[in-house]
Amino acid sequence: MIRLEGVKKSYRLGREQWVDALVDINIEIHKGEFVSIIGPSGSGKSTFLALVGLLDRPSEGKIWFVGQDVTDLSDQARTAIRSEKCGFIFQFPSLIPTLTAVENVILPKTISGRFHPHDHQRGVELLEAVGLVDKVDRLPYQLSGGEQRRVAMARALMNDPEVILADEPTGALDDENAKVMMDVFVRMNGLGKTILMVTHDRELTSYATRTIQIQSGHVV
Amino acid sequence: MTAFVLFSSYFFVHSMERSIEASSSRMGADLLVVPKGHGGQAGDMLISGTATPFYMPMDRLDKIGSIPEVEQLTPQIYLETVSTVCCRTEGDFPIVAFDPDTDFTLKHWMAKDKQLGEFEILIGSEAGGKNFLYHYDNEYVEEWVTLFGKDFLVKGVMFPTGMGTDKTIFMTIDSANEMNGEEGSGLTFPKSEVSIILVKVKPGMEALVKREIEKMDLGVDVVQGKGLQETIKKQIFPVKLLSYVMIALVIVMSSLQVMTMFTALVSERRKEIGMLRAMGATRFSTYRLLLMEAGLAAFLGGSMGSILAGALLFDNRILIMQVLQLPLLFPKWGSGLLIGLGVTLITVVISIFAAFFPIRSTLKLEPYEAIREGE
Repeated sequence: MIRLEGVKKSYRLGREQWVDALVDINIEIHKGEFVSIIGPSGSGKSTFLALVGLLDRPSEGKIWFVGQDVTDLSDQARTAIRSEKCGFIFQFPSLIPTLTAVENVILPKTISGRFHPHDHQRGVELLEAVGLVDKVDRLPYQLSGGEQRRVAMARALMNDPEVILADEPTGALDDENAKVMMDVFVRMNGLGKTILMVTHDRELTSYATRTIQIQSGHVV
Repeated sequence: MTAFVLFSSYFFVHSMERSIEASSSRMGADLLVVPKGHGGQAGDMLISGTATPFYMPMDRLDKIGSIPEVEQLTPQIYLETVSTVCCRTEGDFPIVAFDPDTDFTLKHWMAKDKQLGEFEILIGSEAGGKNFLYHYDNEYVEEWVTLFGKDFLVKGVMFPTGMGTDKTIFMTIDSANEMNGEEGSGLTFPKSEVSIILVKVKPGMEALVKREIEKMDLGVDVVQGKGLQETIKKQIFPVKLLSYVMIALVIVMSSLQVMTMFTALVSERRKEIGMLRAMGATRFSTYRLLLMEAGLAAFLGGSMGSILAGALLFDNRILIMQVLQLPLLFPKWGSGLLIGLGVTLITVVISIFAAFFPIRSTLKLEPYEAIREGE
């Protein structure tokens, strides 16, 4: 489903100084896999996720996404793929502070101009799935950190994506909230969704069907 | 702030222009027509406001009016200089009768456009004392002046002209005619006669009309009043130019200010922008969203700035007149609204233009770069 061939990603630090975040990555992820990506801080895990999720372009190499070479696709085409096939959960919930929980959940539909009135009901159902059905109309500041993460998770599922990409989804969460989130991942994986999860927590790798370890920009 | 400054600046320029227009109209009735032999006194009359007893038949008005190049003409009758008390100020006041229906000179100097009725007068800025002007629109101020045995209500006051008219009292020709020769009034002047005819002609036609009048052999002298008007226009040009330069500077400074503000704002929100892009917002829709936000914020701010500037200027118009000694002629409500809308529109355009560049630099980034830089 996703294939990376000879992928390298470098970032410019100074005028002529570059740092390699990822080097020579060759990997294939199959449909329906639950992949956990582990490694120390600064190893390139988040960059790997960004490249797979078409949030960034590789400096070298090729990336295939659902059978299509997406390396040199136009920004518009990559945006369309992201919008239809990817759901992102970031390290931070980043909810829009002036929108209610359900409005935040349906945001991917609103901003891509594909909103239909029945999407509101779907937003409520997704909040129910993450245990927040009673907080549908709350504003972000009225929710705890864990609840905000769960809203962000519901938002990632709004477009019914084929691939869910999560960057440290349970970071700084208490056990109860972390378990709710992991249960949802397992349920989604059971429905055939491909899940890529970056984590520091080795215990969470037990939920995954496969673990990729990255160290100093290399898959080990 | 931008809207406030723009509105205030434009208001002052607008007031100045109206004031200049008023000056031009007053000084330059393009031609002054007086009875033959009094041509030399015509300019003095206008400048000193002295009531000089010379008259000519009223029918001259129709004859001069029949010249196609004549645009407007209005008569005035110089009655007498009267020693009286006007608004608790004692003095010698030249009394002049004018025709409010055809007048095109005095109306530009009126502090407020008021229709003069019978036995109502218009006074020069200093006829009621130096400070009377500052109370002209106070509804509780009601002054009466006794002239030729009749009580006249002070209906209006004129802005300072720096000429004899500042001490002149103007009444309508109808009132003057009604009192003319009446027992006890002491006022006598030849019936159906006027002292001077002020003529406005089509641009560039002064000499031609002057010749035409002279050809008619009406027993009049024609004096051209153009020079003064042009001198004023020339003198005022640098001030106008400076004002427009100031407005342009305000626009440039505001643009830079808004650009700086939006650069900071967009930098602060890079993570949010990256998130939106990650969720499927295209570059174009993100542009549109952020520019709309900038435009809406500018619209609200611009409207508030314009309203605030308009309200403050209107509320403090007397104070401004006292401080600046400038005859501020407030635009009519319709014009004021248009100025406000124009200023708001300019503010919106400036904001959208200024916001465009920082937004573009952020949207050039890939979503992940924006998120990383936002962190």
